[in-house]
Amino acid sequence: MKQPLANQVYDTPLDEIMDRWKRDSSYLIEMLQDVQEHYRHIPEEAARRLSEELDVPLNRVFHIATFYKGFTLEPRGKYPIAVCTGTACHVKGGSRILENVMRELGVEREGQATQDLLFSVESVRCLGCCGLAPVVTVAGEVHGDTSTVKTLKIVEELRKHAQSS
Amino acid sequence: MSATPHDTVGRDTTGDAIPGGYRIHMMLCAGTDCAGRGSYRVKEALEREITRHGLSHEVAIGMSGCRGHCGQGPVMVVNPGEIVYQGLSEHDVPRLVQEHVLQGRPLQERVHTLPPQTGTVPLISEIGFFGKQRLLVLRNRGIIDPEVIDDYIVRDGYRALSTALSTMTPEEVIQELIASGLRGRGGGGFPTGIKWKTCREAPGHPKYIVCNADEGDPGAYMDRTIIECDPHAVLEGMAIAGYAIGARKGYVYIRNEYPLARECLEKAIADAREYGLLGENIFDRGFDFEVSIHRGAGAFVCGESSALMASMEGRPGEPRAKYIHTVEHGLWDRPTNLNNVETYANVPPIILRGAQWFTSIGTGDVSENPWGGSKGTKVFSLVGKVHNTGLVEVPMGITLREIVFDIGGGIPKGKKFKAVQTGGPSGGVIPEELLDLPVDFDQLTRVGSMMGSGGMIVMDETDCMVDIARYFIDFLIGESCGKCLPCREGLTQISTLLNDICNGEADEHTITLLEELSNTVKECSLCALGGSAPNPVLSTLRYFRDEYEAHVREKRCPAGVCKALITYSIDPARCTGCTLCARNCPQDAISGENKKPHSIAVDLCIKCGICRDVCPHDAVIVH
Repeated sequence: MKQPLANQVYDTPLDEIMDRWKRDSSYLIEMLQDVQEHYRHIPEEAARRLSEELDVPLNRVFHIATFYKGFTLEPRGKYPIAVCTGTACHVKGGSRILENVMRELGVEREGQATQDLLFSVESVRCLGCCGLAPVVTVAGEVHGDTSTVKTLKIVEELRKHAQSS
Repeated sequence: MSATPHDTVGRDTTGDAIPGGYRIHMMLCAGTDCAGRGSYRVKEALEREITRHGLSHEVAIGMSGCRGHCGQGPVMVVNPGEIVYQGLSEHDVPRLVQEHVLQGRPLQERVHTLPPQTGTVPLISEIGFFGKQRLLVLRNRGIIDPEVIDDYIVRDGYRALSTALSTMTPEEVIQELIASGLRGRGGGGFPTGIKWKTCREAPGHPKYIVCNADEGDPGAYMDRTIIECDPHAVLEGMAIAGYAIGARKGYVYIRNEYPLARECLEKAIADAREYGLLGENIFDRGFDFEVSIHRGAGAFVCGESSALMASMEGRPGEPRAKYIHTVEHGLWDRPTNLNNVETYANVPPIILRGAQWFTSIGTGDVSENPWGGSKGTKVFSLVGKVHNTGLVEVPMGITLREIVFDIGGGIPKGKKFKAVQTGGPSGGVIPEELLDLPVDFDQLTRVGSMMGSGGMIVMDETDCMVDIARYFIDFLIGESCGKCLPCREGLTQISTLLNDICNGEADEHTITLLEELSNTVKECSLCALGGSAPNPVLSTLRYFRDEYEAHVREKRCPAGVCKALITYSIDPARCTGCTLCARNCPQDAISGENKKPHSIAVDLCIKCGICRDVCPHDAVIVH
């Protein structure tokens, strides 16, 4: 994969993130979380720089970045879609929604973004609001009692919104 | 057993003067479920409407933690009178204010009604969902504003800590905990007092207190709710543990998926610090205790103690062999006491009201042996195919039938109950014939499931048990850390076998192989994740072997779930020809004339189920 954002990684956000955690390597997971939040993924350059600055082997940074589900190495879409596949959502059809939304958006594997980088689709293991099952979050907003059709409607609206602005 | 005033649901404010001189007090639920259904929008609308009528000095509007009635949100309780409103939207607000506030009569159509319709407006304690519950851990739910520390203090908050510090030695606190028979609510059921004692006696300093809020079981959200509706109870429990064990530092390891709970906890810690209830020299007794928060990054295995601590040290969360205990060599290799959120929240009432009171609730006898019974209550998240989905707290020993049918209100849409799944991915399914089983740690283990952290997922006749087993195994494949072979490779092979069964490509031999392999993984894995991973397979095989056999012998999925074994069709008697299915079919596989029965072209159909979702007449059938 071509490395985007290389210059951006060297500007302040990463330094700010490291300073926030006092450049203490025991907070590496917290730092990676902030990196993920800021860049919507863990850019390789950011991982390299964390490794150098905190004196942690690069393989450990990647071990962590690939071990925990909260991190991705490729960028998520502008509006990440997370389909809950917790047990309550599963029995109410959550897994089917995931499959359908991925197919309709042309996303082949979880975590991948659409070609226009507007959306990415992934499953999440229980958002802890099982009374609303099945649940989908789009760009962090919770949609309960949802379905494939309802989710695709939200996607259409966001796409229109993005095109007009 | 008779409920004492302290733990009867919603006893609190009836008849009491409403604080602040207000005439009416409205509490909207701010839990994740209700917020997702728009409770904050209702609150804003209410505030506007109340202000418009010039009643701001008469009507107080506040937010409360989760009331547990999550399926019916947004929920609002209005006092005086404990009137429960449900399913509110901002459009109801003008009429609600008109009726309830101005006319003094509840807005009937949004009041929780009792089935069968009695025509009267019920009190909380009369509603089946609430009536059979017994609230110890959730004693403050919906009553206090979780963000206001004074609310907690008014309800005996931090009095247990003060009692412990001023009248009890650490050993006495531990003794009280042992006598209470409290067992770990995270799933293991290890006696809490014994764990504290071992940690206190372990050599090494400093010692640490850790609260496990990495609630990873899918279908369970007790810990999130406890933190969101009563964060100080958890902090108080941790501080008491710190005093008993001799630790000055506590950590809460919380899932990153729970932003609301984290914010709530951050505020609670800051407030407690400001009041001197955390920090140095608490209650002038020379006891120092600090709490900070660690965010998890999404790994189910981090619920395991050594993996959780590895993660807190900034490493990948991989468990280590169990013979080194974290109570002796835990965080930074120091003695560390790890308990779950709900366990800590149980501690203050035990200290305040005594072990004897606590042992009066629950099953068995713990006077000689702390493993001799299950005392107190347990919070369950009752979800899935049940009318009243939500969070319930029940005394140990209540039957599953009471939980599912009396509290949960039974199965919706006239479907038949099939099973209830407890214990998350480590647990199992419990079939209808065991519905009268009293729920406690040992009974659930005996029937091949487990208490777990408290997820309780109800399933009906349209849920395929092979698919459920496959679901949990696939979940665990994704969460296995990969360190030991039986779990890493064994689960993948189990999944292959289950897929073969679901795809109709298996024979009798597959089931035997599945059973053998499951037992091997169970025996040989390094940690509890792998050791309990085959439970969903073994328990579904134990109770629903006929379903496996139908897949294998007849190539048929009795519940109509497994895609390879089902076909979709439209019942011409029910179809009205509304064309909704045809318009939504992604494959254009449905055809038919307007207002005439439609049909599905089987060769084009990909069995996505969208037509069944959108059909308003239940005309799409699955064979």
